[in-house]
Amino acid sequence: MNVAGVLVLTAVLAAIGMMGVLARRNVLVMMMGVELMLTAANILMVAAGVVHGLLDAQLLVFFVMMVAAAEVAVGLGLLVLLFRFRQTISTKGLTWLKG
Amino acid sequence: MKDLLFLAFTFFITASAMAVVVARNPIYSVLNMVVCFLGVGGLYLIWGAPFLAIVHLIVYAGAIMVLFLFVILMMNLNEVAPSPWSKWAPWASIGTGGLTTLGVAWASHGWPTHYAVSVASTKALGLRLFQAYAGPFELSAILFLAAVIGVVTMTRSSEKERS
Amino acid sequence: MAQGIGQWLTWGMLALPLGAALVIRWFQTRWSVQQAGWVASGAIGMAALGAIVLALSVPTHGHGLMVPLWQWMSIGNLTLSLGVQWDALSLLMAVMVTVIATLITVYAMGYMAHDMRGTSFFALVSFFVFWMLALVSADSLLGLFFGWEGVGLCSFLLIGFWHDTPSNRWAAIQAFVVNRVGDLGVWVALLVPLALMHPVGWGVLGAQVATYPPVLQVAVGLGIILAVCGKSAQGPLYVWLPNAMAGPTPVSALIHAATMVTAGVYLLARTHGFMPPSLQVVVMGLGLGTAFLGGVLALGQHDIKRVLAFSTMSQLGLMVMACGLGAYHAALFHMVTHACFKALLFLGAGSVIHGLNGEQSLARMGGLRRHMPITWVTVTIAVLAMMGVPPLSGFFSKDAILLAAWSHSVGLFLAVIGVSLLTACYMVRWWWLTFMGSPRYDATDTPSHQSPHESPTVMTVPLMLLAGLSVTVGVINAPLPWCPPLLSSWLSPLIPALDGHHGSLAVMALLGVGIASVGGWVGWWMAHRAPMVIAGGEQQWGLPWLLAWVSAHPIRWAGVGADRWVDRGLIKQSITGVSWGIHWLGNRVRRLHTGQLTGYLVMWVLALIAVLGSMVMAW
Repeated sequence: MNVAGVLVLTAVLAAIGMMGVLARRNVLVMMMGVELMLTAANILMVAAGVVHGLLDAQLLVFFVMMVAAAEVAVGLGLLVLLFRFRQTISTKGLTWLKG
Repeated sequence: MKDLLFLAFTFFITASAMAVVVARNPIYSVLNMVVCFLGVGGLYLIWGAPFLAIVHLIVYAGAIMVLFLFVILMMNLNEVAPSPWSKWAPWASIGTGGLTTLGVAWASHGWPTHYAVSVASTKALGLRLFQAYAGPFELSAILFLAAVIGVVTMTRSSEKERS
Repeated sequence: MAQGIGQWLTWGMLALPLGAALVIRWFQTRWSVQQAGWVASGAIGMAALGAIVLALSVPTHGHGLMVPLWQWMSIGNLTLSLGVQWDALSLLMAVMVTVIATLITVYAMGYMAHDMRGTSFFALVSFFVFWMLALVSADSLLGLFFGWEGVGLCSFLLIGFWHDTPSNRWAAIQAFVVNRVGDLGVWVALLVPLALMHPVGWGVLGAQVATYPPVLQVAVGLGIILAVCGKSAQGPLYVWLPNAMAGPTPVSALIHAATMVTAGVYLLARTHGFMPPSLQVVVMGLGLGTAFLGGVLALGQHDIKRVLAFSTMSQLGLMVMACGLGAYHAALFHMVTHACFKALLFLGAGSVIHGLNGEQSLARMGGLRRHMPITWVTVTIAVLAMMGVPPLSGFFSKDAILLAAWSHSVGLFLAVIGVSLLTACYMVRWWWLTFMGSPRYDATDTPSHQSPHESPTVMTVPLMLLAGLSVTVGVINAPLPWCPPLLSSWLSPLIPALDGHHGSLAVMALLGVGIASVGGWVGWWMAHRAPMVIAGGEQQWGLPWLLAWVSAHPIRWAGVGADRWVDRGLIKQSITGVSWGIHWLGNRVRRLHTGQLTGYLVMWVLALIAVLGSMVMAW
């Protein structure tokens, strides 16, 4: 396993995820972008565990996965609410913080 | 051998991730996401974390993406929003995948150290989890409880609708 | 004399006029003009008696009688206190001031008898006498400054006594403001020793100033010159004196002829060692120039009191010039004699005004000698004294000045003769237009439709007493074989006399008669041939206008400019500009709040990159 490659992969994946969050107005795709960023961090964590020979890295990934799952659940709940009130899941009309 | 596999998986992960972002149809995004997670699972396997690979697939691809699909299908969100760049979408994703693979290959070239990979047994993982990380484990239960209660409270219908 | 009695007398002399002022003020609405007048003249008269007693008994050597009054503050080694010093000079001034003030106050009882606010007039006059006594009796420059300010205030109040008329108010303000400019000079002269933590008592101040570097000596000297210009209406600061004639005639007689304006001469005499020779030349030139200017301007006036105002200015110029020469004895002698006959001239003018029921223009007078004989005789004596006709007092004092000028240079001597010619000229013109010739007033024009009447006794008695003084007071320093020079010997321990050679008395007498005759003939010719109201004379041929454009208007523009450009422009705009800038900045930053989630996320990502990047850089 070569660390340099892992770093490049992780960076690119995280960038793609961030692009997904910033460039798309569909809330679903934005959430998927967040998941991509989390995945990138997970990959890096596992690689770090290999580098140091620690098992704890994998456990940490485990916990991150758990939190990601809970977060997706709550996020989708919010999305359902948003659709219920606005009949759209685009972030275009959400301007109540304006001014 | 492992390096070649690593490059292949890199290609898959990156290309499908790009496809997730640029796809117009949300269903396409979800399916591409599943492919991405498959790649990630494979990556974990070659790095000696089999348990983690399976759990990753089950949780992410099996639960989370299914949740996404449920939401899309239940609320009919799969209208395709046309975009002038849509026809370049496949090429964008393949191109990104290719470039990243090349980049990874080029980066790995001069790096001196190659680390040895030892496969982590599930037993060892379990022991470690329930001995050293028992506390966080219990706390995560509370986290899920909070998430469940929160979501249910948020999305239940109001008094008027129920009566 | 016993210290105790001296102290009692001092307290009495200062307290009586002040007390009279306060008492008259208190009972102002209940007392008549006569009652107030008696209280005032009684108080001032008793102060005069006290002054005479002190003058006769205080020893002339040393510092005289010192009466400390109040210690104000002490800073380190320096102690500031107010006290009284009775030596020859201050007693001379005190006697002159109080005696003349008594006579004028008695006269005012008749002059202001029908005035609606006559009682408050006497309160103000007593107040003024108190401040004038404070000025002359002070033992330090600081104490003098207190009195200086006080007499300035009283002058303002008295000039503007009839404050219903706007021009009177304006004249009072002008007097006060121009005096203030002079006060700046006293400030400078005070601040130089005080800044160096030196005491400012008269006994030690002279020695102190002598040790200063030349720059500081010039500063102190210039300050004193400026103060003299302000108070004694010299140089460009003369402009307030003719306008001060807006006050009642007793005020003009008291303040602007005999007492307040002589405070400048007093200051010069007190500071006789302070001036470096270069500044003494300045003083001489200033005095001589003012003397000429006053004489020329007096020729152009047709108001009965303004001619006398310019005459005062001219005579003060002669006194200042004499001080500049170092002939302090001559200057002080002339001050005393001038006080007597100038006060008499003013009171006589007041009698004429009173007799004509308010007429003040020479163009509408004439032939009054028949209707006002006492006034005519006394005023004629005063005019002769003013012209320097022997053996009246004015001759001896002017003679002293002429001799002092002769000892300096022939040119100066001739210049003083020129001033004397001018004096005789305008005085005779004034006298002729007022009393002689045929009447130019119309009896039907006067408000009471009666021909002019002589003034009541309460007014004519002071006239006669002053006439007596004008004749006799010359003996105090006359160089006559049977008269000891009382004044000089009295003043000598304090101020050294100028060594001049004494000219032959007969020659000087002839010179005096000659000057009076020549000047008088020119004046008579002017009264007959020249128009009575000379074109431009009333406006002094534009001189005050010119002075205002040089001094007052630039200061006013600077003030207006400072208000518009600095105060409201720079300072206010910078503060409102800060507020405006914050508003502007806020508005620009506000545009970041689009409400769009994506925009916020982008900013968040950028901030994150910046923070992490800086952390990485620092590491």
